[in-house]
Amino acid sequence: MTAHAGDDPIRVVVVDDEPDVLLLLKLQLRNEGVEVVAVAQDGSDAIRLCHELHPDAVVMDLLMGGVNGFEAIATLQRDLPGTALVAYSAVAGERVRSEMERANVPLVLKSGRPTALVNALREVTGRAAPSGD
Amino acid sequence: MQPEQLDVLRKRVMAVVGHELRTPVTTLRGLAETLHAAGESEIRDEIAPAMARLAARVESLLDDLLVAADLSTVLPVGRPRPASVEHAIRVAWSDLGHDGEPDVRGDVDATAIVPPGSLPRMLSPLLDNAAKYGKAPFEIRIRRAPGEVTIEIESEGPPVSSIDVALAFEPFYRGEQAVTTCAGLGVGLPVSRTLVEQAGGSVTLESRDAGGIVATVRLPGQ
Repeated sequence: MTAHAGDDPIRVVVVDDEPDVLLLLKLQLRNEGVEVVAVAQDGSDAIRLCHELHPDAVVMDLLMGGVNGFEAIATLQRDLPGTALVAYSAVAGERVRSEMERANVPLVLKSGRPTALVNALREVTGRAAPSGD
Repeated sequence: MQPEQLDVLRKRVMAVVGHELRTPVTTLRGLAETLHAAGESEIRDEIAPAMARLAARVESLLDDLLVAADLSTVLPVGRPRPASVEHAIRVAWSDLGHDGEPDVRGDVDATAIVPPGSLPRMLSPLLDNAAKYGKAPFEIRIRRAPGEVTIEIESEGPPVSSIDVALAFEPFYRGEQAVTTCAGLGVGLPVSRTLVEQAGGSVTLESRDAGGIVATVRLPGQ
């Protein structure tokens, strides 16, 4: 599956403290026509990169050292309200679900397949899914 | 154990297993599928080492789980005999693979009377915690007294809650800071305490007023 010809790809910053997850998402999102403009391993790097690169969206892991995903989401919503956000987490207990609901950020569970994440990115950026998706 | 306690333990184990294993397993699956579809050899060269790393991590987590399921399987055998504390610290540190050298002070020639081979295993989880959650360099002090040797591992760092200190030796418990920063199942400290107590000693944790933590191990000595 690729982006339609003529479509501008969704530009995203991907944030996860695990390099192997970053590698996977870079490859998977590229195959789905999503442009990963930068990756970050904690929230403070993510915030800096978003100020520099103004991506359409951020894929944000939540449980990280340093500035975690909860804090980074709050900062980005305050400072860069035009940047769409998708939370991407291995597990989602009560606290994670309620925090993301309160922040109005869609939550996607980590998966070996990128479909749910790509759909969420299309939704938060207002990009229509290619026909047949 | 009462049924309610068993239920709490079951939920705690499943939450920890879910959290710690889900990321490497889902990432492995995704990489395997991407590898299958990858035409470019340089992508394959990136994916294959990542898959090996993730598989090793799953293997290590499963080993921890097996240990926690039956702690008696890790108990050493053999009559207690003198073992150099400083040497054990350096062996444990080297096995952990952390950078640098630990700062060991005090009675560095002291020996503890413990079952053979058990001292590095007792100290390893305490050193690992100091390295992961504290600020380097942390300090290790050895003190000898008649019939006893005391090892203190003191690390600076963020404040540690009294709940984390109280529950640190409970199997599968992971402190708030651990859950948000490092992989692990929460079985290192319980294994450490089992080994120390088998040798006739004790191990305690105390939070420092200025942040960070002090782990104190007391063992039979000469």
